[in-house]
Amino acid sequence: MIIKTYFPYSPGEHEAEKASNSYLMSLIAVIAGLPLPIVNLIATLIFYLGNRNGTYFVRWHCTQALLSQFSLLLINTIGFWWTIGIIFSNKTITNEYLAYIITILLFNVLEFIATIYTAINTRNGIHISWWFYGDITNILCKSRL
Amino acid sequence: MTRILSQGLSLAGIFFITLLLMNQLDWMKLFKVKQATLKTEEKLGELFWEIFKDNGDEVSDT
Repeated sequence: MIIKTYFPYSPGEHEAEKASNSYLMSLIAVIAGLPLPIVNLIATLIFYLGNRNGTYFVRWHCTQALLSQFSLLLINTIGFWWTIGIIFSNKTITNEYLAYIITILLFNVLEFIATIYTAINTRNGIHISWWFYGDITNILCKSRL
Repeated sequence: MTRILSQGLSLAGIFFITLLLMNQLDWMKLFKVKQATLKTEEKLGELFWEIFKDNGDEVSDT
């Protein structure tokens, strides 16, 4: 799922730190705004907007961090509103609901581990490309040179 | 482009297969949801009964 790939140039210390921070941003947001799925996306989006004019390496990783949050937002939003529906309306807990919550929990944990791994490696200047997200990032983020 | 599409579809596929597999397990039994609900209902009933008893006179000679 995670591949160490070649990057056109080797990033400097400053760039590696900024790129790593984009992943850390989503981790902190996960802890801070756990029940609300949108907090993650907003945090990474703000970081992305702030670094839109940054160097290629920074931009690339900000975009990948942002994209990975989109799919999580989709599945987490369904889970969130389903829970709200159960708490505030006369719907009851069903087996389907519990199965869904456990599945999204599993995917969130996997994403969390992948993000930590990527943040550590990017900090060391190693270019990490995620399966699926990395390819979309390659299309969206181009070198300006 | 086709690679991204197939990767995206596989990712969605993995998600739905996991969901399907998770659905095979009886989580309601595993987490004892029914027992917990019954217990909460009973406790709530007791609590409300106490409140009603404190706020009015209990008619017990009917």
